[in-house]
Parts: sequence; structure tokens; C-alpha cells
Amino acid sequence: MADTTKTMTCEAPPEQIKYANILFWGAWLGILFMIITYLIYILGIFTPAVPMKDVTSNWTKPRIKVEAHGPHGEIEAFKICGKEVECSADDPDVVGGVTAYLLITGSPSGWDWAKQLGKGDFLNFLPIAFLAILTIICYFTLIPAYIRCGDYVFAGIVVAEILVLATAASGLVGGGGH
Amino acid sequence: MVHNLLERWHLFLASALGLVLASPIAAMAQEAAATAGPVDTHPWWFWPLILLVFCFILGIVAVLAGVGGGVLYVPLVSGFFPFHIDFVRGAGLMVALAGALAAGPGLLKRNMASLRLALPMALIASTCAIIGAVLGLYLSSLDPRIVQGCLGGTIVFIAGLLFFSKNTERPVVTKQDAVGLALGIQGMYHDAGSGQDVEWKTHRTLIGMLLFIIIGVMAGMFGLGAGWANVPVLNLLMGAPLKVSVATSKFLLSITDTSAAWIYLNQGCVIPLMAIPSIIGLMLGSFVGVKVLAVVKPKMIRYIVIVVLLFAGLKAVDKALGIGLLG
Repeated sequence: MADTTKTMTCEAPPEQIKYANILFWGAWLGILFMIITYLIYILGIFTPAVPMKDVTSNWTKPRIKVEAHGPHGEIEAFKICGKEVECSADDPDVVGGVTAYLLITGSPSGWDWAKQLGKGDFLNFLPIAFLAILTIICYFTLIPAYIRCGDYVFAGIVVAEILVLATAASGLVGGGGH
Repeated sequence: MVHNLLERWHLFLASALGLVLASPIAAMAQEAAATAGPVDTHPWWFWPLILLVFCFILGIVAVLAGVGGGVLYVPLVSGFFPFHIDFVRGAGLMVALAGALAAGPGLLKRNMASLRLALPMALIASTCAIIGAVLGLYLSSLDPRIVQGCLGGTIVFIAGLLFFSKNTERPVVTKQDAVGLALGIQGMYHDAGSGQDVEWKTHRTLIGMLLFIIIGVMAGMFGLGAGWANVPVLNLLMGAPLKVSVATSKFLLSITDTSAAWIYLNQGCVIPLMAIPSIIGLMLGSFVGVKVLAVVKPKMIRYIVIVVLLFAGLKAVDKALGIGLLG
């Protein structure tokens, strides 16, 4: 239960200030880092794993016709629609969207991008992931503050949120693979 | 002199909006070509550059219209640019997330955004955003037109909400409800406009929490960000002052969108070549927008944005149903 007997002031509580400071430096560092890695990518300083031309020719309507499935239902063999085979929109073996894009371009899903940080395109995932992890880092700073105040409900909310965000980040939800 | 300057700003903004609407028209031709099959003949830098400029203008317009970047980005880019909707939603979430992360610290330090108000809502919304993201990707894998149609309907609804909803500067909360009291959801901020210290507390907290279930699902499903829904719930329903609601909503997005962004990121829906120019363009545009806000009357811009949203929403529905009435 929160202590509601405290005198209210216009000042932000200390844990809120700490959270804000970490968020401030983290967000701007992440955005600066994002600009740098993007420049490295588009200037071709590090060769991309997927050529630019393959990215742009598949980001509109990537479609594949599945030829064979693996033992766990994963797509094992396929042909690219419009390039290797003609496809009908009604064909149940035709798969589109991000699944088709990943297979056509050979791009990784889940955390597999981390294995290809030497490539110009996947290097960009580092600042993106950093921005997406920043809130989890900030949340960790709240736990001792709430426990110190005896505010166990909010400490519990913070721990639960960390678990939710960590689950989302883990790649366990929504497949994570193709 | 000042009048002249204002006129120039209005002229600039009218041109900017014209460009926003003109570049999609050019893109429509591209989209039509893409549907027919031919390969994109533009060099690789063409669409990232267009996106950078487009998002820069979008950033200015979003600030002036008082809406988040994500809510304009997803319908306009999915409706008028040649990208698959999965990638647009992935980029849209990153756009909304980056904007919220950058805005959050200032709002928290001034005690406008309240951690006590945000944390319980964020837990519900971010959990449901994961469900929304998974659901959206599943429906998109069945048929992208399902998501496109639902997105269109939602955008039309948002346009209506922006037009009709009348927020209250300082709602009167006579008695705090048990949930709000138990969680200590209350605070105080200094209103620089009136020079007063404003105390606030919430009521109808439980209903508000339940509504964040729907908000979270929609944020994750469409990659929109959800400020358009957060503010009315916090302000009109729960009775938080408008400034606290707007600030807390912006901060909330940094948490809600994080969970959904991870799902899209892990599924491979974030393409850096298009997502990063979008983020940078929108952020630069937002900075300029804040400066422009000081000298222009944003009311007309807001109405234009509502019309643009309405058009984008109807186009998404039109596209999903395959009517072809709007191009």
C-alpha cells in the first residue's frame, strides 16, 4: 500500500528524477549511435548481409510458394513468386509478408542478428535494440527505491513489468523464428 | 512585421502539407506499379530519402496538430508508400518509441508525467500490446487486407475522436476511488501558465485500467502508438489534468511500445533502411514543430490533419475491400 500521508510537493520524486536522467542520456546516446550505424551502412563501410537492391525489391510484396515443409512445420524449400514461379493469390502454398521477406533475403529473425554485427545492415539493430532495452534498464533502478519506501505494491508492479518486457525481448513470444 | 512572419509560416505549412500529400500521390503510382508486378526501378536511396523528407514534415505537422508521430506515420505510409504493412507497423512502433523516449525525461523531471499514474497503466497496456502484436502479425500472415481494413476503421474512428472529443483542462475529482487511493495515484505540478500549484488525483481508476487492455491490444496490433486513446482515458475518464494526461501518455508510450516493438523486431519486421530515416526525420521535424508552434495558430492544422487521417483511414478500408474508389 502506498504511503499517502506524505506532504505533496511540485518536485518530482527522486526515483522519477533518476529514471529521467538515465532515459535522457540513454535515448540520445541511442539516437546518435543509430545515425552513426546508419551512415556506416549506407556509405558501404561495412558490407551489408542483404544487398540494398534485394531489400528494396522485396519490401513491397514479398511472396514465395512453399515447396516443402520440415518436420516441425518450418518452410524447408520454396520458390520466389514472380521470379522463379508464377503464383496465384488463392494458392494456399503461397506465403507473403515478413515470413517471405526473411526467407527470400536470408535475413535472420529473433536475436540471430547479433551473430552478424560485422555486416552493415545488421549493425543497425544494435542501437535499435538498445533503445528497446532502455526502459528495462530504467525499471531496474526503481526497485530499490520502492522497497526502501516500503511501497511493495509498486515494487511488484515494476518487477512484473520487467518480466513482461523481458519476455517480449526474449523472442519466445510470437514465434521468433521462421 | 509579425503579421508578415505569421503569413509566411502559414504559407510554409500549407506547402509542407501539400508536399506531404503530393509525395504519397507519386507513391500511389509506384504502388500501383508494384501491385502489377514490375520491379522497383528507383535507386536504393530513393525511398529512404523520400521517407526522411516526408517524416520531417510529418514531425512538424504532428506537433502542431497535437498528435503522436506514429498515428500519422502508419496510415499514411501504409496507404501511400510501397512498403508491406508488416514493415510499416514495425517502423511505426520504432518511430513512436524513439519519440516517447526522447520526450520522457523532460516530462518526468517537471513532474508533468507521473510514474505513479503511468506504471500500473503501463503494465496492463504493455502486456496487452504483446497480445496485439502477435495477433496483428498472425492476421497479417492470413491476409494483410484484414489488418489493413481494421487499421482503416481505427483511423477513421481516431479522426472522429480528435474532432469531437473535448478535453478538460482540470477535471473536478471530488472523491478519489479505492483503487486510485490504494495505489497512491495523485500528485502535484506547477502550472507555469497560471502560476499555480495544481494538486490532482484520479477517480474511476479501475475502469481506466480495463480500457488500457483495449488500448494495449490496438497499439500492438497496428503499431500506432496510442496517445490518441491514452489522453481521453486519463483526462476525461480518470480525471487527471490535461497537462498531466498528455505528458503521462507520452511517457506511457515509451513502455507500451517497447513490448510491442520487441515482438516486431524479433519477427524481422524492422527494416533499418526504411525505419531509421523515418525515426530521424520525425524527430528532426518534431524539434522544428515545437519552434513553429510558438508562432502559428495550430487549430487549422489540426483540422487538416483530421481530414488527412480520415482520407488515409478510408483509403485503407478501400484498399482492404478492393473497391479501388480512392486509387
